[in-house]
Amino acid sequence: MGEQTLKEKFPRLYGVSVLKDKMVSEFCLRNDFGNPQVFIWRIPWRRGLFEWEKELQNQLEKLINNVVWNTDMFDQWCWVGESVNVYRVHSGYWALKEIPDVQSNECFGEIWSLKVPGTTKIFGWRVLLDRLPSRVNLERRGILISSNLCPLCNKDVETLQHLLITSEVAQRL
Amino acid sequence: MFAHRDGWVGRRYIHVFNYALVAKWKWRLGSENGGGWRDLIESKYGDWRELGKSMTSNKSSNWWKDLRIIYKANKEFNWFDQRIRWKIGNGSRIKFWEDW
Repeated sequence: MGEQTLKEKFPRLYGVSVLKDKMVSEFCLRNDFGNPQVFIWRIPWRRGLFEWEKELQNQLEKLINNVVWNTDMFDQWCWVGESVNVYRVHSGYWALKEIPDVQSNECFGEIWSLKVPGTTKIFGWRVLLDRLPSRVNLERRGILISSNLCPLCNKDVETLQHLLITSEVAQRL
Repeated sequence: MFAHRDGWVGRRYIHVFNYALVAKWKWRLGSENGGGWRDLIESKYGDWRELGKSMTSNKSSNWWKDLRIIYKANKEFNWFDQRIRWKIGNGSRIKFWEDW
């Protein structure tokens, strides 16, 4: 529904809804013979809604009633920014290239050409790829460790981010 | 084709191009009608939504594991999902809360 899903637009209602992963058609009793089409929504909640939540429900129903259906077809994806609404590698490539960070991904060449000892280069390379054996990484690789908390401060999980930047110990350095 | 248009040389944008190519698979999984290869893939790995989840099984084929870079690229840049819109037909493929 536009740029956001209903879950993101109505987090409160999503929270009290049941059948969270059901399809649209399962919430809707449709009268195909009427003109204009009549939709009756049956969105089940796990408890009665409060007054202010009913207001949200009204907004939600208003929004979904505005949608034009094309009931003799399957639901379809449209790709934004392509006149035919179909994804093409070409337009995907250009869409990606507009994102500045995508291109700067490869700076390894600069690391390798630095005049520092080889182990330091390798360390830098491992940092960039998040290949250091931080406890979170060890856990992901299935290596048994007692906890994934940072052994230096015991306050947060030991990710690369934590280890080098956000940890108190790192901040002091 | 790309090479000529923007002076695309060497390896600098290869990984960008690769993201775009791999995304085509996600597109096909999400947009093509059932029957044939898509049903086969779905029965083995699940539907296109699986590509938005972080975990993957070690038993997956290399092809499927390669598709996982879509997850990484999309998580970092949210570029693919952001450009997808649903056009509702009979409502049988869109998840009410999570997709719509």
